[in-house]
Amino acid sequence: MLANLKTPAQRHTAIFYGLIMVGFYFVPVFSDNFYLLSVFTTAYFYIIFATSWDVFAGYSHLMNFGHALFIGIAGYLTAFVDLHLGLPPLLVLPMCAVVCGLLGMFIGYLTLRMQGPYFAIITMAFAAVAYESAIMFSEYTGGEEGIPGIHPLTDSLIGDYYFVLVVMSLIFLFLLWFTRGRWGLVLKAISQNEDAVLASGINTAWVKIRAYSISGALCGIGGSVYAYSLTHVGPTSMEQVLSTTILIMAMVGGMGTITGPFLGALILVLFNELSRDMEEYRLLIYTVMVVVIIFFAPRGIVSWGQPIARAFKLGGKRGQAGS
Amino acid sequence: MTQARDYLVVDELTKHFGGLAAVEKLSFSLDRGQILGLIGPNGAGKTTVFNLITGFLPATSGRVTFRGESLMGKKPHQIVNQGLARTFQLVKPFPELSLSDNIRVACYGPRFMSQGLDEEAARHRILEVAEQVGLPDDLDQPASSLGHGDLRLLDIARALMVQPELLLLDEPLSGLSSIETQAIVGLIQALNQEGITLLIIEHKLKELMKVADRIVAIDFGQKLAAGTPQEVVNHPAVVEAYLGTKDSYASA
Ligand SMILES: Nc1ncnc2c1ncn2[C@@H]1O[C@H](COP(=O)(O)OP(=O)(O)OP(=O)(O)O)[C@@H](O)[C@H]1O
Ligand SMILES: [Mg+2]
Repeated sequence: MLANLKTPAQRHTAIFYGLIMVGFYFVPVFSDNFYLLSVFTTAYFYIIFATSWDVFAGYSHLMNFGHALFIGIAGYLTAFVDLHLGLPPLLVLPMCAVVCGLLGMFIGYLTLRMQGPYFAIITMAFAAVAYESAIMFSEYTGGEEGIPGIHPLTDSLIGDYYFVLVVMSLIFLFLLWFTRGRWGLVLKAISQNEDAVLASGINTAWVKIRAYSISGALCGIGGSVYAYSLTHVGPTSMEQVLSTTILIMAMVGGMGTITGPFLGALILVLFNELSRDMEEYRLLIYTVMVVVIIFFAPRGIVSWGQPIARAFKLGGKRGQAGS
Repeated sequence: MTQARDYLVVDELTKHFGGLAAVEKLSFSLDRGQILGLIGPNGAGKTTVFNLITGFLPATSGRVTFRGESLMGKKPHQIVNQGLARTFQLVKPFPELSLSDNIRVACYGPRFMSQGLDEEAARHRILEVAEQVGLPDDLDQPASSLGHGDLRLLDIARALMVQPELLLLDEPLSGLSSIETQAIVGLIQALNQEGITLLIIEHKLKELMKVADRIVAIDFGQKLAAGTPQEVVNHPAVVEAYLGTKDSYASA
């Protein structure tokens, strides 16, 4: 992947995200404050959800309004196999990836010919049906209460912190690799002109199904770790609010970039926590902030990267070159 | 090698859109190495014929065979991978991708990938094709910065990237300046010299007559005439369909 960092801008970007990631690994060195670590852990979960959303929806511009479906399905699956079969997380995570990957493939296949709003509504409906089922079949799912008592990932807060962080790092790196290569290019091309991609001899249907499957599989891994981390799963893990939050984070950060949803999730989770003191104004400020960002940066926060970098670094260089 | 005669055969091809017969029992064939022109007034069904051949639309009835093999029921990408590429009447670039990425997309189909070519080979081929069609040197600029003429070239470049044996061009000269027109006419001749068979829809008859070996004229989805360019252009039914004298369309 490093070989792909041809331009200075690409190198700056790699250094920027590399530093953030390294910083994450050092957080527990400076503080073992329970609250601080759990805020960061929450951010990592949302990063997994938003970046995995992005690899399909952000690149294809098919708005997935039901991404939390995968979080919930993986969560319940994790609860079942953990409590009934006692399988270890390292087996359960791949299992959730496979199940959610197949589910993504299935939904991708069903929705193949759907455009814009129809696609959005179907994805919403799938999550809603799963949500209602979780409440209805309460003898298996614990109804509204959900299923408590999932075994924790590790026996310490710091252990959990690193577990989630490592999973997030691997998913983030995988997605960067996946989207910076030919798949990202083909997906972007499909969103801009599917006919021309077909005319290039590429089976666009299969590309989209595969991307949706990867999106589901990675979110499923996140959903499983999420359930372990909370030691609980309930219908709220599939709520519409959660799906919408994920979508907003990706939009705010910048769809179809992976790094955008990474930043969007991080910033919005941190803001949400930092603004706890503002009590009842919090939701208002949060909403206004989201609207303002989307208004001034329709391509997301990442689109500010180039101008900011130029203002700081390249401005100086230009001066030197001129002297 | 495959037979030179009846390389592409369109047999009683029919397409109805509701009550509208866009293509009606149309038959013609194309020999390998030829350039065949497809003409007809606006709405005659020419683009629909392309869409039927290339799998973008399902036929109501009839058959298309390429190298003796039926194309019916095949998906567009499968047909491309048999060596039959096309361009579109309305250019279809990927506006936000760079020129080289626009062309590179076509490297990721099975036809190219199966040759086991790596990124380096792809880059090489992209430069080759870009130069052959005469795209601007700066391949890093986004396609959205190109003018109409260059977008046509880009569309052709993308089609050439799949290394087609048969190339379908839908009005490659429309909206071009006379210099750009000459360049594309030269390119068409060069491609044909390389051994590519071409089927070309074109309203600019003067230019088409220069390159085409044969011409098929259609109207209301039906064949009016077929033969050498001179024969077709002088055919009474064709003259009538164009509602004019020979001079007015030959100079169009
Ligand atoms: N997808 C479609 N659905 C319904 N009608 C269609 C469709 N595509 C084409 N038509 C109709 O079929 C007829 C033939 O259209 P077509 O585009 O093939 O004509 P054309 O010969 O390419 O014309 P032009 O020279 O203007 O490009 C027209 O009446 C058109 O309105
Ligand atoms: Mg047409």
